This record gives sequence, C-alpha cells and structure tokens, in this order.
Amino acid sequence: MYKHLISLLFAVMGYCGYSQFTLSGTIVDAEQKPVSGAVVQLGQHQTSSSSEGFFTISGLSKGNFTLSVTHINYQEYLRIIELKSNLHIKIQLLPKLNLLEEVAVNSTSQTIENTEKISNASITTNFSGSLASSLENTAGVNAFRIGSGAAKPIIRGLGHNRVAVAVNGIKHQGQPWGSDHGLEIDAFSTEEVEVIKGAASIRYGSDAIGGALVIKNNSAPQKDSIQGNITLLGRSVNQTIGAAFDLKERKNKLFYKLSASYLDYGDLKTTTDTIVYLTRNIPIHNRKLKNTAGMEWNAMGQIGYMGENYQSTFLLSNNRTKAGFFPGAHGVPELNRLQDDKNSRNINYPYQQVNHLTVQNSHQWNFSENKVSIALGYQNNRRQEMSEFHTHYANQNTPESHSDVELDFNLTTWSADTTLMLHHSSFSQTELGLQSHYQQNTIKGYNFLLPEYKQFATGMFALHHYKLSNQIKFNLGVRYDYASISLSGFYDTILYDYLTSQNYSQEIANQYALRSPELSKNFSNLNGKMGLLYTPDEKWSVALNLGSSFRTPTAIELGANGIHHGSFRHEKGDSSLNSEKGYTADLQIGFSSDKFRIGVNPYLYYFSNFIYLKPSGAFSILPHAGQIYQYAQTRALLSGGEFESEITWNRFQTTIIAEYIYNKQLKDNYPLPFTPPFNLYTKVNYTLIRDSKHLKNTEIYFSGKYFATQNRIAQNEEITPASFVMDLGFSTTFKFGKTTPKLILSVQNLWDTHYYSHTSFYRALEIPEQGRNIQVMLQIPF
Amino acid sequence: MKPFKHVLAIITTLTLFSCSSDSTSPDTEKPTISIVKPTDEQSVLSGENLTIEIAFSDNVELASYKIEIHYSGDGHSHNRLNSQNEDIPWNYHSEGNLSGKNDIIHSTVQVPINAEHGMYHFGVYALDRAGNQNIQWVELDVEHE
Repeated sequence: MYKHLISLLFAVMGYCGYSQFTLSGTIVDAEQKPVSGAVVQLGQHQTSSSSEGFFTISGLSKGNFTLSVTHINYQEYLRIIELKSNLHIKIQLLPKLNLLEEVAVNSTSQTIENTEKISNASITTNFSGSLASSLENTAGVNAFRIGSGAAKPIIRGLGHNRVAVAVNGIKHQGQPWGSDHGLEIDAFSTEEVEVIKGAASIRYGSDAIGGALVIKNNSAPQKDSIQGNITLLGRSVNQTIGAAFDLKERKNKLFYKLSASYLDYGDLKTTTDTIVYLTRNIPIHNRKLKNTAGMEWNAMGQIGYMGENYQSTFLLSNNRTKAGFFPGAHGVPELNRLQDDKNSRNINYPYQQVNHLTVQNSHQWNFSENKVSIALGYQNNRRQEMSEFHTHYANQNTPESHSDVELDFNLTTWSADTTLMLHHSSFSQTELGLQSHYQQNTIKGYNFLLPEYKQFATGMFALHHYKLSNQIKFNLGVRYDYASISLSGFYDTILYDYLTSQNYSQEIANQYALRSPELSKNFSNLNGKMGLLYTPDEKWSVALNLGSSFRTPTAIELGANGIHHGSFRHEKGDSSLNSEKGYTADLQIGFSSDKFRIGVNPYLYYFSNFIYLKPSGAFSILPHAGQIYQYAQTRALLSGGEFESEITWNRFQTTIIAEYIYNKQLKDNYPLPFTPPFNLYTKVNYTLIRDSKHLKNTEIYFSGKYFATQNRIAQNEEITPASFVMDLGFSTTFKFGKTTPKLILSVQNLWDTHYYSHTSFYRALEIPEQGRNIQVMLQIPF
Repeated sequence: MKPFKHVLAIITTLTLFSCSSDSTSPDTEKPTISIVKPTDEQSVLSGENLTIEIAFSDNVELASYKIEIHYSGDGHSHNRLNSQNEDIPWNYHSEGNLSGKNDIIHSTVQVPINAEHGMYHFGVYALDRAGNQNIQWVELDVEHE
C-alpha cells in the first residue's frame, strides 16, 4: 500500500515540478468590440470570455496546443499555439457570412449574469407576429399579447415598466405603461438578442427589474463583402403577407447597411363563434375578431467607419404601425358595432397608429486594451388612438378639426451615454459609465389620459470584473441614479360643468375635474450587485447573482385621475409614490456535455416598494366606471424557477423547458396580476438531411406547450384554465449553385385548440387565443 | 457529486418554500348580480315609474352597489350636433351599501318626461368586502306615448 502512495507522491511532485504557464487573451469582433461568452478551448482546458472579451487559462506546460474559439454568431477560430512562456494574444472573430447559416439554437454562455443569447435565425424562424412573441419559448420569457400584431416581453412575470429594452445600448423609449401597446421594434432586422434575467440595473438603470431585452442591430459587416437577404412571409391565421429586405456592403473601412420590412394582415381568426361577456352573447362572425387587421412597415439605414483604433456608426430607423382594436374592447360591447362588415382587411374605428423614429450615433476609441465609447440617441414616439368622436358629457362639443383623434401623444427622448473600459490586467477590468436622457411628452386629442411631462434622468455606474482563478470569476457593481419629473396639470372644465349640472357638489366636481396635478418630483437611487461564477470543470457551472434594482414611477402612476380605456378602469395616481425597489437572488446550476445539457435556475425577488393598483372599494361617479383603482405601494415577494434540458441523440434533438412563478404582494397576500402559470415546453427536432447535393439542414420538428390552470389570481382577474397546444414545423435549405434559399413551413396551434392565455390583453373580455396558423417563410440570401 | 447534493438541497428548500399554501387564501370570487327588474329590452314610457329589483350574493361578504342608466342611442356615437328636439338624454346614478352574503335592492325611479327616447343601458356594479367587482347590463327602451 505504501509503495503506491509513494509513487503517487512522486508523480504529483513531478507534475508540480514542471513550469506552469498562463495563456490569456482578448477576443474582439470585426469592429474591435469585445465578444463575451465565446467558448475557448485549449487542449483539455476550457473557459469562456468575460463581458470584456478576456480569458485566461493557467497551469499550462510548455508545448504546442490547438486553440479553438467558438461562438454562435461567429465563425470558428482555430490556431496552433506554441507555449514557451506566459502568452497574451488578441483574437478577432469573423462574423458568420450568412446569419441564416446558423442552426436556430439558443446558447447559454458561461457568463456570470443570467443571460440567454438568441440568434437572428431563431427569431425569424419562430416569428409569430412580433419580436416579443418570437421569444416566448425562451425559459423565463413570456409575451403579453395584444391581438396578433403586438406584444411586449414579460420576464418572470414582470413586464411593462419592469423590463428594460435597449437597442444598441440605448434604452428604447415608447409608452410602455399601456396594456394595449406593443414594442415598436422590427423583428427582422435584429442581429442579436440577449435576454438578461434578473436585476440588470447596473448597466441599464431604471426599469431593469425583471430583466432586460438587449437588442443589437448595428454590427459592422465583414471586411470587403457585400451581402443581402430577401424574406417573404405568409400567415394564414390573419392572412398576413409580408416581405423583408436587407443589404450590407463594406469596402475596407467604410460600410453601409439598409433594411426594410412590410407586413399587412387582416382580422384574426379565433376558435369560437360567440363570446360570453358580462352575461351577454357576443357574436364572432366567421370566427374572426372584427377590426383586428393592421399593417407595419420598418426601414433602417446605417453607415459606419471601422478604423484600427477608432470606429463610428450612424443609424436611422423608423417603425410605423397601424392596428385596429376589436370594437368590443372599449366600454360596453354593442351588438351593432360587432356586425359583420364583410371586409376582413379594413381598419376602421377604433384603431391605433404609432410611429417610432430612432437616430443613433456612436463612437469608439481603443487605447491599447482600454476603450472609450460614446452613444448619442434621439427617439420620437408618436402614438395616436383614433375613434369616432364620442363623449358621455352632454356639454362636450365635437371638435371642429380632427374630430376622430381621441388620444395623441408625442414623446421625444434625447440620450447620451459614455462608457469607459479599463483593462488593468488579464484578471481584472473595470467598466465605468455615465448615462443621461431628457424626455418630453406632449398631448392632443379630445380625450385626456396622460399629462404632458418633462423628465430628466442621469446615472453613473462602476462594474469591476475579477478572475480569481480558472474556476472562479466574480463581479461587483454600483450605480447611482438621479431623475426628476415634472407633470403639467390638467383641469377638465367640461367635466366640472357636466358634474355640477348633474347636481354633484362643487367639491366633488373639483376632485374629478383635476385630471392631473401640477407636480415636480425628484428620485435618487443607489443600487449594487455582486455576481459569482464557479466552474469546477468543463462540464459543471454554478453562478450566483445578488443585486438590487429600481424603477421610478411613471407619470400615470403619479398623476392619473380618470378612466383608462385600455384597462376599462378609473385609475387614480398617487403623487407621494417613491421609487419601486427590488432585491434579487438568482442561482444557476448547469451541466453541459457533448450531447446533453441541463440547467436549473431558482430565484427570489423581494420588493420593499412594489407599485400596484389597489381596488379602493369606492365607486367612481363617472359613467361606465366601476370602483376607483388607486395606485399604491406595498412589499411584495416573487420566487420561482426555470428548468432547461437539451438532449442530442443521433439525429434527434429534444428540448424541455419548464417555468414556475409564485408571487404575492405582502399587504393582503393577493398574487400579482398577469402572472404566467406553470408551463412546460417540449420540442423534438429531427434532422432528415444534414448535407446532400441539393439540400442541407433539412429538419422537422413538433412541439407542445402545456400551461397549468392559473388559479392564483389577483382581484378582478379571471381564472385561466389549463391548455396544451401543439406546433409542427419543417425547414430546409436549398442549394442552387451559389444561392442557398431557406424554406420554413410551420403550423402553430395544430389542432385549432380553443384556449385562453392569462397574459393576454383580451383575456378580460373572454376572447380565446388565435386558431390554427399555417406559416410559410422563404429567405433568399444573395 | 458533492456539489450536486448541495444543489438538490437548495432546490428542495426553495420548492418547499414556494409550495407552502396560505392558511387564508385571499378572496377572488366576485359577487353575483341578478337583475330581476327591469328585464332585458323592457320598454318604459317617459314620465312613468321604473321598478328596480336586484338580487346580490357573495361567498364572503357584500359591500356596495351602483346603478347607472345612460343613453346608448344607436351604438354609442353620442353626436351632440344631431340633437334637434327638446328631449335630453337621461342620466341616472345611485349608490348604496350592501351587507351579508345575500341582499336585495328594491327601488323606483321616475323616467323624466323629457327623456330622449331610444335605447338605454341599465347597469349594475357590485363590490364585495375584498374589492372584487362584478358588472351586469340590460337594455332599456324608453318610449314616448
């Protein structure tokens, strides 16, 4: 026995006797921007690059090694390394020439933060009407749907103002408070989407409580290349016809990109002939939801300069949407407004139209390993809701002009962000940032909902990354934010006169006529985070993130007073509201091998100041209004978990994703509204042909999504019964000489299942989800 | 396998925590409203008395109600410029308290002699102690002799 021990000891000593070297490096892309989450393999050692693109592998002995660097958006990088001493290298990854060549698979990189990267191929093949709904099968992500063409992302049951959306680093500023507003971003022109789950406040400031949706569409094309795509789309569920086009060219240091898309759709086909709402039978003629037709067009142009140490881009994009509202969605449904108008493509009153214009200019300078970047942005969001003039107040006259403009909001935002990346060593880097924006909202229209306001916000943060060893990385961050908002008051004299004529006292008439108070308020917030990643070997990884998050109250939460037709309620703001504050703990445990991947992700959120609408128990005196809902603050708790698994066996690939959320506000223990129930998603993908003469990547799949009954409901929500919906799909890439068009056929809701979604705007009206959809998409690269 | 054991312990704890049932589940059941009088599409003459009878019930405790009558015309396009005659649309509202698990409201309301004739919405809102709200509407036809 001792003989074995001694030889073991010698072996160990002998091993330790060899010189140990370190290989470290920086991984950047074509425009010198760091690539995070790239998998670096050297012999038996494996690690991944940090958010600054740095990696280190120590404990290496002398010799020749093959270095391989892979990442879903880039071509594989291979290099033979001769190691004689400590070595630091710089690696530049080339973008995949054709984004469509990627397999539509999501990747969970080994970064400290809980992020999931979704490729453009995945978004377009899973396209189901909007960007947010294409992300629904990502663990932890759901979509709050408004009919067929609009949706907003929900991360872990938190949506609207609790998910920050950033485009090329700049926060997207639409009107997120509304339940009938979607995300004004073109799904087709996105290059990379990253979903950050959990508090992302250090980099994104206010609103990044549930997480953040980080969209990138400004990357530079490969040097000396010209490439484009044409996409054609058809969807049967609402007779969509759509087309998208993009072209990008780069000659040495200069490049340009152009993209455009257009979608036109008719009324949405559902799975029922009648809806029972407020005990009345509402007919749904031809099973189509009347007036839910719409259209959307997008256009984007970008030019840029890619130098050795200086890069700059200028981007201009516009999104325009017009979509009808189901006439039964506003007020008491009138049977004569729901009569079949024999035209499923017309958009009649009431409808919404939005135009979102974005202008972005960014600059980046590299000083050896350090970087300075500046991003300037301008956004204008013009949202109008059109409806034939109607009023409950006999003394309100029809406006002389624009008598069909019910609401008209014009929101303009100017932003300026600066980031500094300091590289101290290959083990330690610091990121410093300063972000500010100024926002102005003006209103028009015969109906009042949201006051005019001006808002200024600024934040500064520091995020320090440290690699302790090959197995342990951690980061620490701190951020300070200051915001000030000033609301213009609005006094409704028409309402005052009407109420006094109805014999209400002057005092009461006054209270109701003050639709929004004149208010100026400041908010100061300090937040921090700590993250740790432990990778004992190439297969296991454990990450823990602890942090705080916040959001400043919206103009509606502070100063509303009146009926919000989007939620059919009289909502009353509270000017004494403080910033919402949350604390998150998120744990990820993952195991990944060649053919098998599994991840478990439990999390816990505690809100010390959660803003919600509390039913007051007091009736509103306004016509068509029930009780007044009062914005209030309370403590709240949210917990849950996600489970993901991927198994590859022969030509089969099986994916299983399960999510569960449990939440409640701690005032009277009611669950939070619009919380998705437990759900399980399974997909089986079979590769028929990998690569043959005329076809490659020919695959078929079928998938099923099960939602459990949601009976943990808030007051005045409906219990949503369980559902199981199946999808089927087929995709293949053709090879015609140099052209490789891709065809994707899919059938969503295969069995035309009649089911409800708990996170749908139309749930309150007992409107079921859409029926069977047969979708055809053809992508032709050139 | 040691890390796996710790992992399992954490998951189990969190699962147990989240699955713990509340001893008192909050009340999310809406009160029910039964509009006995007027009946749907009932006709009433202007100047006449309208009899109202509404029955309410709740699983825990009723709190209050609101009755609202307003002109719906021909599909809610209240176009004020069209009003040619002396009649004005009638607006009626009343609120009251409710108690117990079952309660009934009886009242009469006089339809004004100059009420605009046409279709009206007769609506009832009910609230229970927990803030759950229910709404019911019937149509009322106001006619002249």
